[in-house]
Amino acid sequence: MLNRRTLLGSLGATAAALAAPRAARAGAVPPAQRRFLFVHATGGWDTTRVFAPSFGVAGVTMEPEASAREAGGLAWVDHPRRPSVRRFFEDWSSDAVIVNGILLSSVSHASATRLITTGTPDASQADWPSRLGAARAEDHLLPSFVIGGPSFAGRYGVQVGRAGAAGQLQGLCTGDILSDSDLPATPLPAAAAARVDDWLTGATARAASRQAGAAGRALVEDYGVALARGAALRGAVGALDLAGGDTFDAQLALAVRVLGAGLSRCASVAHPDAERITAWDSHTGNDGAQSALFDNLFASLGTLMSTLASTPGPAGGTLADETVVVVFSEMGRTPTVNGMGGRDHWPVTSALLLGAGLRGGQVVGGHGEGLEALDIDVESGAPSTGGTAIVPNVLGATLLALGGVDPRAEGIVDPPISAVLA
Amino acid sequence: MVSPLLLAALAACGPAPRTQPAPADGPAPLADLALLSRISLDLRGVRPSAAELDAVAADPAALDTLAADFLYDPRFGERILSIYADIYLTRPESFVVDANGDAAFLDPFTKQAFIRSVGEEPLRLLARIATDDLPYTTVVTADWTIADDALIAAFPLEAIEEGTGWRKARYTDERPAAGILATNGLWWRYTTTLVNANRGRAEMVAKNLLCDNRFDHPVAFGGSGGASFEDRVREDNACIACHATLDPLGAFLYGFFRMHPESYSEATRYYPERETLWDAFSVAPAYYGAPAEALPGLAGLIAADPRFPNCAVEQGFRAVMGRSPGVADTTALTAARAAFLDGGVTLRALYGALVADPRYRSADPDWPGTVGPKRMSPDQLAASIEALTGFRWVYEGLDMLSTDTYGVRVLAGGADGVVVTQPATSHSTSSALVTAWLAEAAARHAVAADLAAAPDERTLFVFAPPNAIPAPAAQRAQLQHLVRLAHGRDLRADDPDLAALAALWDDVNADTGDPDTAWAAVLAGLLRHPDFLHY
Repeated sequence: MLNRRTLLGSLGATAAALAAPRAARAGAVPPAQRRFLFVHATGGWDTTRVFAPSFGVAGVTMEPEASAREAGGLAWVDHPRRPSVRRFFEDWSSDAVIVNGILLSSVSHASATRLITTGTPDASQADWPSRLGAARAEDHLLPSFVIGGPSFAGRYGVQVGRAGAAGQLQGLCTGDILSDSDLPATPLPAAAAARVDDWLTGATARAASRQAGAAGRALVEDYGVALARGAALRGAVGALDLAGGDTFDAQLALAVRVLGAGLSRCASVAHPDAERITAWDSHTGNDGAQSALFDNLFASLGTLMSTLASTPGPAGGTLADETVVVVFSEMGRTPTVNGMGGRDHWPVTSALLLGAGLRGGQVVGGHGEGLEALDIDVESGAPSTGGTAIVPNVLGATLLALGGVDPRAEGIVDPPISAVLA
Repeated sequence: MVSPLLLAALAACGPAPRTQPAPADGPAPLADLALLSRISLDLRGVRPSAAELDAVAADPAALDTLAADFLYDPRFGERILSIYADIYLTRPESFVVDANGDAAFLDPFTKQAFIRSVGEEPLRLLARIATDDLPYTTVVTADWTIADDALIAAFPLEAIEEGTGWRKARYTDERPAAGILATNGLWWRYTTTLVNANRGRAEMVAKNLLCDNRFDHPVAFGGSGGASFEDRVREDNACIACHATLDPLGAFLYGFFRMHPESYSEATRYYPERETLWDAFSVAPAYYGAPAEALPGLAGLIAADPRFPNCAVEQGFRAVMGRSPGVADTTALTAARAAFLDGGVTLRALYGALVADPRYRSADPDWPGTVGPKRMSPDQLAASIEALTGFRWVYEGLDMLSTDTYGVRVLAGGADGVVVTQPATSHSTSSALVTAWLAEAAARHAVAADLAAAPDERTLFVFAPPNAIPAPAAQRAQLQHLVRLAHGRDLRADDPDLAALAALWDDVNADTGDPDTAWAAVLAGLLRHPDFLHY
């Protein structure tokens, strides 16, 4: 249980680490030290463009000029209009796992987004980044940092920080945000503000002790944690630029900064940007739209992988040694084309896992006729009749296991896909 | 103006918190001032004024009178707007409709303000229904809407009410009377395509007007077996479960169908000639199996559906109790529903009943269903700070706590309605930072304004002379006054919190040599205190 005393101690260590020289490369880290970067392709991607080589499969229309291709044990769909995808898999297939046949139980954007990020359709439940961040809350100022994309904090609200649509968190740390005011907005002198902070720390503790019920006490204690983190963040921001930007590459750059600085365990970003939330939703003109988006996405992912490999990580090695990249979309698209050259919502999707802790170079799961999701043997990852359906909780259990969190402690009884765990 | 009642109370070194006696068959209620604050925040979005606190301190029986008065406060409408903004989710930062093409929106702040106005249109209509005591069925039957100058200039609207600002208006493009269902604001937020066939819009209607949440329930999809999407929608049981309801419901809404969803000029109008486009999809309009014609038919069926008022009761319960109703809440929901119907199906009747629930008023956390402390929403925070200090954080005309592009709504714990669809119920690092800066700016503003005013016009600093070190008794009285205003709590003279506040004042004054800065520091601290932020 995170309390103020342990938090303050760890915050001091975190702030000191921001300025400390990096230790020698340490290589792989244990699961509990792994970090996560979640990439949400917003709107529902067409899995037959990259992840599902369903050539010659009944009920699935593949794209003209597309072909099946393999590299390092990984099979994917190649196409001349998506050179960045080919280049990515040629360079990084040994670090990659494709999870095919993730079975959702909704084709509504909102509901499917909740399902794939939390395992339930209930928006009050915490998503995977929040749970993973909360598990190492004492080590991070912003355990789960949302730069773009969906976020469901659930009971871990105090563990989740946000960058803001235009990077406003930076202005909140420096105080520059007050310059955006029609009325004169003048902060207190620094010395007075520090006195208020000190007083508020004690006053909040007294307020917590006055609460008659556990819920009220927890709310006040959360506030105490938020206050302490806010003060520490303001102290640390001089060494770190928290201003992001809504382009995908700017979001990734900020994610790398916060993960590399040890500020966050998880960072979440949205593709193609934080604003166009229906970009992947290609009900018309599917082929052109999806090709452009996939090519753009994989070009940036390739750059990201190189960046992670050359960026020092808080554990002493590189960020690549300790970071799992989770690329997903809330749903897939229909296996056939509609009358307007588009594809509609489909309750089967895929995910791409990259990086630390993975047994890379493999595809787990699969699709049957009509792009249906196949059950798998979680030990081998191969399709297996009567095996386990890859429902969102199976994906979630896998991510939690990668992060050293017991899925059962989080109320998830579905098994992780052990085949992907190194 | 110093309240005589307050002076009397302070002279007695502050009374112990007063609490009405527990009813024989219910939990002990909150202390009177705390309960007054809770009701005021839930019904008006602001904390009680000094006069209201004085009235209840003098006579606890005044609480119920004041609670009834709060329902007639103009801010009750704003509160309803805020509550339904988190239900309808119509205040996003952008729409699929792209307003960039219009010259009026070259200025990004003007464009953002227009987007906010569009999103508020259905919410303003609801707020007006609340404040005019109109039956809740007017939500789907009104032959008018509420619009501001921006909407009247951009949409085919004519004002039917004198004045400026938000006022009654009527569309002139032959759209039928259907309340919020006939507003551009609702259908800009909930857009559609030919393939989607208004299904997302139908889901909005079912979910938010009838609390029919079946579409959130997991569905057991199987393989397609090669069947087309259209065939599966008609033949696959997993698909039929939702589509048999959604598709006929969506068929009512083709008058708002846009050939080019992003087209601004197309999106301003209603298209009577498109009402029968459903024919192209072979799905006739029907309401849960009952055939009907056109939008007024849908509106009439919703208005007559018992789920419609029941849903309003559930939504109100969630708003004031801070949690979803469960089976154990059946009695409370039934009582609130009865009050709602008996009161003419007005939102005043409903919310008045909800805040009278003993569990809402309970101070006993062990009593089943007792409402625990809630944190203020960004709307409540902005309004409460403005009411107390006169400071509203506005930038280029945009309220900083209700915008994300330029402001800090989501960072403060609000919902943007698209990516963040539920307001935060706890705190975060970013919300604590927002509160800190807002509190500091507001406190400095308040000190400057209040201390510059004539003594008998001051509301905050009624005991402390400006720019001077107060005598200990005056300092103590001033601190007690500020705590009461900000927290709805009377501090006794020997309360350690009072001593800590006095020490804060002394420290800041010693650091800065400026008593006014010391008062600003104290006020900023009180505005950041959990007792201000929670209720």
